[in-house]
Amino acid sequence: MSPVKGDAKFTNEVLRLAGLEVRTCIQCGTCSAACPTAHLMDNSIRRLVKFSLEGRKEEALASSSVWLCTSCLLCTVRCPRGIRPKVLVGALRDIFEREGRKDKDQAYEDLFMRQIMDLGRISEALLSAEYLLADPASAVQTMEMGLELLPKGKITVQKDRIKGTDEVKSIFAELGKG
Amino acid sequence: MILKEKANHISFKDWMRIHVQSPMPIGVYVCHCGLNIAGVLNMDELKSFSEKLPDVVIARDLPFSCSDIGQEQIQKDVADFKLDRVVVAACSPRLHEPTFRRAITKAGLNPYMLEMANIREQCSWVHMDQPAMATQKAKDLIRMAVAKAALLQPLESATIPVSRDVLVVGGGVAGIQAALDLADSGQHVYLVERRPTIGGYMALLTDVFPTNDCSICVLAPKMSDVYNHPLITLMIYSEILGVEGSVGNFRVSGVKKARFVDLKKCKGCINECAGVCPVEVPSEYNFGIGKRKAIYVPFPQAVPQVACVDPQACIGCARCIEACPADAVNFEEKQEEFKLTVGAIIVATGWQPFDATRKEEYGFGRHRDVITSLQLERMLNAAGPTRGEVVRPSTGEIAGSIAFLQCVGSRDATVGNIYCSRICCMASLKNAQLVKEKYPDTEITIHYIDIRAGGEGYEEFYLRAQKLGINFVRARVSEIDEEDGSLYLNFEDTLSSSFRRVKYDLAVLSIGLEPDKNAEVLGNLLGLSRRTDGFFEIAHPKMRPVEAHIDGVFIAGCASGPKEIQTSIAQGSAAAAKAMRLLSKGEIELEPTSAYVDRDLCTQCKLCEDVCPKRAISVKSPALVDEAACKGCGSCAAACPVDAIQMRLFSDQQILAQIRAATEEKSEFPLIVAFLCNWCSYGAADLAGTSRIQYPTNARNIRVMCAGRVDPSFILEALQRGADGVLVAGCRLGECHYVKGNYQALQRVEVLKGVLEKIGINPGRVKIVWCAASEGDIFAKDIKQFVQELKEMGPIGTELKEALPGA
Amino acid sequence: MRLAYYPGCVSRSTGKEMDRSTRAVCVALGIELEELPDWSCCGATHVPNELVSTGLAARNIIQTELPIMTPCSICYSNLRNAVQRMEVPEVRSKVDAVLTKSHERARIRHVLDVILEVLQKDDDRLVVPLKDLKTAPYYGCLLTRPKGGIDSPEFPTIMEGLVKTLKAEPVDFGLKAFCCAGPIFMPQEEAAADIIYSILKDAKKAGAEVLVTVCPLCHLMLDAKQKSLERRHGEQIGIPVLYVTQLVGIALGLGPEELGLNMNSVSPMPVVEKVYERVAK
Repeated sequence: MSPVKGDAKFTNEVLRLAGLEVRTCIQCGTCSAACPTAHLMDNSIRRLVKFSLEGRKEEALASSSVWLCTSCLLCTVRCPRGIRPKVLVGALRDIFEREGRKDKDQAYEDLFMRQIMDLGRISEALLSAEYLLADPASAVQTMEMGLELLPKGKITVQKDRIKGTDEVKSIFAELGKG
Repeated sequence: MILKEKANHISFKDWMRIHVQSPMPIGVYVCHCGLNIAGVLNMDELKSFSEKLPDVVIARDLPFSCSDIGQEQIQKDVADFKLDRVVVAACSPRLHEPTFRRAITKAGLNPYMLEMANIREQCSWVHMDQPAMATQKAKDLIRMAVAKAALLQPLESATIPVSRDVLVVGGGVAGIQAALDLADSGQHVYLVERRPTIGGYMALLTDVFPTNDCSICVLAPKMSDVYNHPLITLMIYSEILGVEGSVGNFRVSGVKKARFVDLKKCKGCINECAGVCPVEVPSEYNFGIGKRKAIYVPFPQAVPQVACVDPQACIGCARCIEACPADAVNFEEKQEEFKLTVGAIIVATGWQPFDATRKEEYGFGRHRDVITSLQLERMLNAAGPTRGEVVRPSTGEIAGSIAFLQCVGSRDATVGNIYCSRICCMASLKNAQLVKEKYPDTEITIHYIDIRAGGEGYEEFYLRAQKLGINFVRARVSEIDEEDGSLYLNFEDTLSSSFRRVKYDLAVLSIGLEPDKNAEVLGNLLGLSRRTDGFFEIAHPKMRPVEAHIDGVFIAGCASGPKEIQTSIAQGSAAAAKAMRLLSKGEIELEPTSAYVDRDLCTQCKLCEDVCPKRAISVKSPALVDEAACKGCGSCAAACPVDAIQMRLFSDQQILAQIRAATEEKSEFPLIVAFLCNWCSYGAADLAGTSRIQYPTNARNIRVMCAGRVDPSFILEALQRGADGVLVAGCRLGECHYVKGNYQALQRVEVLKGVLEKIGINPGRVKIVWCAASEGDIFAKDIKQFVQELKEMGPIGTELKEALPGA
Repeated sequence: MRLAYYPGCVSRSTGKEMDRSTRAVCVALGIELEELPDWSCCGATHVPNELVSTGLAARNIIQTELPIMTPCSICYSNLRNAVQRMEVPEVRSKVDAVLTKSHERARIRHVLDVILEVLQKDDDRLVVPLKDLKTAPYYGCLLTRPKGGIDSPEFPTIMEGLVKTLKAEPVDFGLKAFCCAGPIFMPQEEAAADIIYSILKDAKKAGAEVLVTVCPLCHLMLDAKQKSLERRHGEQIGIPVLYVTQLVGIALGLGPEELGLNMNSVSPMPVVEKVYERVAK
């Protein structure tokens, strides 16, 4: 193992998913400072890039920042090197999930994708209910939101399955394989 | 004696052919080069082989053909045997072609009646372990050289008279320096400047790094020298609209814009006229922070010190006409056209500042206290709009805290400028120092990605800034927002991994340098190429720093990329020296290697115009080659669909003769006909020789000036005549000595491969490779690999046989 | 004008009024919508593998030859991103391989962009001028990102133009393009709540009577969460949050029922009444 490169396999996987241009990062911090949730993060997006390039897999995957990205794309709009840090965060999530790692943040995403695979579309009420089971601590906000939306007729529980679920499944299976 | 010796060796019929019938007697000289060649190749065999070749009347092997004795022997034979052309089989022509050309010239032959066969670098040195095959290859190479020699034509180097006048475009510091150096050396210069004053950006700066001396104080004397120099015709407020002709004789036309003020009458008092002018507009010379009137002098030290009326702003009230005590204002003035003939052109068109409004996240144009580095330069300038005070534009108060943001519009893919603007680090270090010295209590922070202080005295300058107490934060600021009238910078301090939102009175954007849009017209007229960054490309990024690809055109200063004053001045001087060298004799010698057009065949399709890197060919019913501009690359000849264009030195017939000679006797499998460009791949093949890198003997090399010379019909001819493969080797992409010849070769080869595939020939038989002259190992590897690939394909035609049913 | 319509999953639940007002406004403006026959989720912000999310978006794009319109900024961004990604030959060949039909470069449109185009040609249909209504456009993130879309990804102004066309008064506020943090609402409720609180406060400070959004997630956060924020902070905020289609619908004289105004959490009815009062004067 190279003293600088660490886990080269991990680095290569991130580069495959997020683009080779990640290598051109100059650690300027534009992405982190643009990030609306940076103040909540243990490691900034900039550091996730550094970890990824140095093959510091455990540090990268254990960072709370992986799950705090809102996909706002401001990092991507501003990066002076044309890197797409949001896609890098996605790559880390993808690796995390493919390795079967579990986390409360990951649970929501997992449910979300499973529902797309099963139904082709998302039913938010169903999703919230399932998430409630995965993370009981979310009960308060879920209930609060539910109470707000129910009288407005915005909570639909019926399943709404599309015809092309097989195609959707194969998109996940074929395009998502490592 | 020699005749007797020959008679012993050859039949009477051959003897008759050689001595009685040959219309173009050729002498062949096979060089031993000590043991360098003779140690590997069988010299006797080569000599007797050469004797039997058509038109050869004498063949000798010489121990050292380049020695005085060798040369004298050749000269003697020219006289004795009435040779009218000579083939020397020895080292690379890149080494001794000039030597032998001189030698035969002394014997009374035209220097171009010489052909060399490279049997050392490209044979004996690279096939040391295969003497028999190497000797076979050498025979083919000699046969090819003799075949080409039979078709050589005497060529005359013409000289043309040239104008010794030089046009310098752009009156910034680079152009000023070029003009002064030329004029001081006695050459007449036309200096054309687009604006109403010379001086460029340097005239607007405050003190300059790394010495912090006053910019205008060191520039103003040069500006006035230009104005007063008897050999400089200053063409101010003028633009170039047309360029024709070529090196030595450029015919340039343009216009001098109407200034509406008589240059001779105006005394430059300006207060009289501008004082009564009712119109105020932002001053471009203060980058928008100050105002000027519709009648104005650009800045106090402008040269010429003459007012100018801005026709866009002027409302025509004519109060200035009444106010002028010298009667200099004249609204009737019209623009004037001019025409010049010059021998050389120096392009010193400079740069333009990056438009900071494009970085919307910094709020330039929205937040008043966000300014650019150029605006700060003007503020710091004692003659500027704030009389040297650094103030917040929103309040007019002295700024108590200032943030510098580096790399605004540089190193930034989001605005398409990935290059470093090179001067901004030093400029900010300098401005920060100036502010700190003037206002010691001001809090100053420079936000940087990397501080680039490479230059004499530059790192020391950085050190000085640090010692003065200027703060440095390694961060690229992500955005500036404004809250309750204050600016806030958001950034991550990357060295401490902390997010910061910090309030400043003033934010200075260190804006980068971009190619000047106004120079595009001139660039197109001259046919200058541009790099991907948009700046004009120089002929070689290292070795020819002030030459353009077009002969007689030189580039100085920021027109070819961002650079500091010192370097711009050096380039101005360098360009001047280059122009002097070119024109000092009053005439230039043209290499007789150019293309020429068979006017009857030309169909005026203009393909040649598109491929010519030198703009040397133009289609004016029919095509015409400007022989002064043509460098003989041959791309036009390869592109011409009706073969109306011929090369004088590397003609189609000569190359076809070489191909036929190479394939006359298929002496090994696979047999490769290889076309090598003179500058890189032929050099690489020579280097493989001098490095003794061993590789298979299969290639029969044909030297061309450029890979772009390779006409697809050459490749087809080789394959038709039984070559198993054809190699085209050019300079690495992007490094072609004729700019894009290798791209053209690539395109032609790709098309040809498609054709081959259609007719059932394996397209893999044609291979195109790139190697630099320094890459002998790569050339050797390419040959090895190609030989291997061809072995797998089998002899030419295998695929056709396989395709036949029942085969 | 005929367009393919991609409603997005939210149209069937928390964003029903977005869907309803979109359809109503399109009818009123003479825009014919043809709903994609078997549309599927675009992946929103919860499919981390970009190739998969490109595939999901592309599956929808190949269902029509028409330009595709969506009222949801998230769907819009994902569909646009997919079109951009499909320009990369490697991505294209992989994605095409799993789809039933090869992907053609499609034009993706946001309902905002479509409305603007129609109104620029003909604003006669605007029968109810929203006189002096202090309207704060809230862009969120994804309407203009990735860049190369209908407006600046940094400092968009396209909605200000629309607001003026409707005779309302645009209110500029600092956080108009700041992320609402919706995608992390589930795992990080408190942090997300802080962010939307500051956005609402910022808009209110700037004098906004009403906020306009182009994204159902922004809308959910700013509207449905508002009451809970009021409880938490013990203060009244009370800014109605309208979809851009609802705002345009009001100006077109459409009724509250057609626009689903009753489905908004913070009722916009007082504002609507004020508008009508001003018009009456």
